[in-house]
Amino acid sequence: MSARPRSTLTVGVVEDHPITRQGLLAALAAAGFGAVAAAESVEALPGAPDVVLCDLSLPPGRVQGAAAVEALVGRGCQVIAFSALAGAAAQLGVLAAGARGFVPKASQVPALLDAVDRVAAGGLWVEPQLAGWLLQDVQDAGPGAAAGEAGRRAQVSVLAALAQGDRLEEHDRHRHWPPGTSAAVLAEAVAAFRARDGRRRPSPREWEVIDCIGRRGMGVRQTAEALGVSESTVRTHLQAVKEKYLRRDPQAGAALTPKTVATLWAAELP
Amino acid sequence: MALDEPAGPAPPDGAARLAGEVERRLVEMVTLVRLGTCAFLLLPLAKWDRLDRPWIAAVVAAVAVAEASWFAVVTRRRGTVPRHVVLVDVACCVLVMGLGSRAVGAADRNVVMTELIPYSLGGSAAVGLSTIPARTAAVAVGVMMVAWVASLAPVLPPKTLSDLLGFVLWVVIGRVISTGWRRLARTADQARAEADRAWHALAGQQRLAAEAERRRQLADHREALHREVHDFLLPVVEHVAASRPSTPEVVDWAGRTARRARRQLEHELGGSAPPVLARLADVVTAAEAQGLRVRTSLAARYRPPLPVVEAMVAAAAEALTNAAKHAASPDAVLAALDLDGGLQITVRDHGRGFDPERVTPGGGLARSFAAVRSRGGRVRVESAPGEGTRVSIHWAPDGAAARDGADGATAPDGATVPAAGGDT
Repeated sequence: MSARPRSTLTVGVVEDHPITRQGLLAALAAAGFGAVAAAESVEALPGAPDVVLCDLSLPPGRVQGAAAVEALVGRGCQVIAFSALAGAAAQLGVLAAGARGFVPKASQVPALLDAVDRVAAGGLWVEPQLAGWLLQDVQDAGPGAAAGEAGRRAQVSVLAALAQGDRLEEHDRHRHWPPGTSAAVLAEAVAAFRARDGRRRPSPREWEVIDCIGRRGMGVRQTAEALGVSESTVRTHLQAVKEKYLRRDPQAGAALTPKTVATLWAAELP
Repeated sequence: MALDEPAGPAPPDGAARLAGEVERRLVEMVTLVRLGTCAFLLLPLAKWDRLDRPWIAAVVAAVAVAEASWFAVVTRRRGTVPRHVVLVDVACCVLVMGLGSRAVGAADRNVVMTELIPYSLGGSAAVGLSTIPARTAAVAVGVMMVAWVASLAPVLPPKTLSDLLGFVLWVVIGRVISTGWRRLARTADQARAEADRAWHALAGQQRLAAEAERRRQLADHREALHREVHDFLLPVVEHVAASRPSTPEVVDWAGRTARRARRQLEHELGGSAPPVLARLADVVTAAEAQGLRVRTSLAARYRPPLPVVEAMVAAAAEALTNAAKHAASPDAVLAALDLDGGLQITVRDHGRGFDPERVTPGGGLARSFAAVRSRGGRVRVESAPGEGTRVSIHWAPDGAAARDGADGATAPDGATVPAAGGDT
């Protein structure tokens, strides 16, 4: 992880509120970044800046949230999501979508600039709250979820330290680790989280089954007819979404019927 | 409120499923009888030399096999035994009896007729297993019985009566079996349909209840947000709108109000969080009133007993107050995490720190720490000059102490002081 001079970096801002957008542009320009560009939507942002600060709540009808992050990552940008209001699902969702960090809008400007520097250098910016939720996720996944028990314990150690307000460099010193070890462990933790999240999310076809059964109250046969597949295929999809739900929430209990699980998943449909 | 499905079996995907299945099985049974009994008509052909007119036996067998094949095709395609198929089958039976009996002379007729009995009784079974009306079935069987007697005439052997009884028994048994199965299937399907209707009605009620609960929560949230905007945010905005001077106090006031509103909104999004998190959110608001900017990491799901929560929250509040007064840093972090089998609350600042060995314990911090210890918890204060301070408050059901480095996490360098000491 090597830091490039700010003057060689291009930074983009996607923010629909003009005052916030102008404020961010001014702060970034004053901090010495090479070029800054801003737009009110992902679609309107020109080119592919090195780092993009992307608001999660953009105007209706425009790509936003995790989809906005995915679109920017697809362009090759390093994305830092920011929002005035984002709960666990939203922050973990953008992290799973490829964001390199999340910054609350209430943050101080120096913290924002630190985040841009770290992400531009290939690192991750994880605030205490996000670290706490990631820690919960690692704990829920249990042993064997990471690369061995030693790897899992290292991830728990780093995430717990971040969640409690320690910095990565401090944690290296406190554990007598070589510099950069905590950052590498954090990167492993985020990669492992993304892999787990991918296995926990239903596929597009499974979402269609969830929509039919969990939200529209259709039966297996009706769903099969609606989707043009066999009843056994629908049952296979239902079993898969149940397994994914239990992976995400092991305490939900294996006694849940597939139909109940479809109803629970359906609550996450837009 | 999670919307769950009513207990019991899932509703059926189609009506009359069992009735259809029973009809299919009956059709299979009667088709098997019809095809299987054709084989008996081939037996007279083995006595070719002893027959007076063997070609008649061959024609009869060919006609019977052709009719049975047609019978199987039609019934399989229709999924039932249609009335016209039954009547054609009865006619074919009459033909087989009348014509087949003529393959030998009157004296030997009983010999060949014995081979025709199974096929002819198969016609009776088809009548019994079909859905034709009872009167039609009686007439059809009567016709077959008359044809049987006529075929044997003029020499009627003693077993003629038992042959005729066979016709009656087969139709009655077929009728009893098919009627009973069909009635049972209809009853089962009706019960399933009733259960289906009840299930959907119950699911509808649950959806309505869930919707009512959602609306109530929305109303509560709306009211809370209204209070937040009216009581806290609007005064700041109105102050700015009145172009009053923006003093450092006003800027601080605006910052605290914005952070308070943000926490409130995040709490609204958080759903049913443990009570300790809501209490800690209040603690943060109080700390910010003292000028401290507090970042939080409220990610605990552990729910200790309420007295423990009260003691831990009070200790955290004291720790934040201490940070505001003595750390010489505007920022602090308050974390509530599930660690070491229990709940851990941590207050961390990166202020000037202190040397624990040179600090005299006492004050509110010492009292609140003692309260945590009296409820089985542990408090750990770690600090060093220039390194900031970390206060860890931990409680687990078995009273286990927080290990160095929760769940493998490490602690900052610096001395550890007893829970009752280290008031900065």
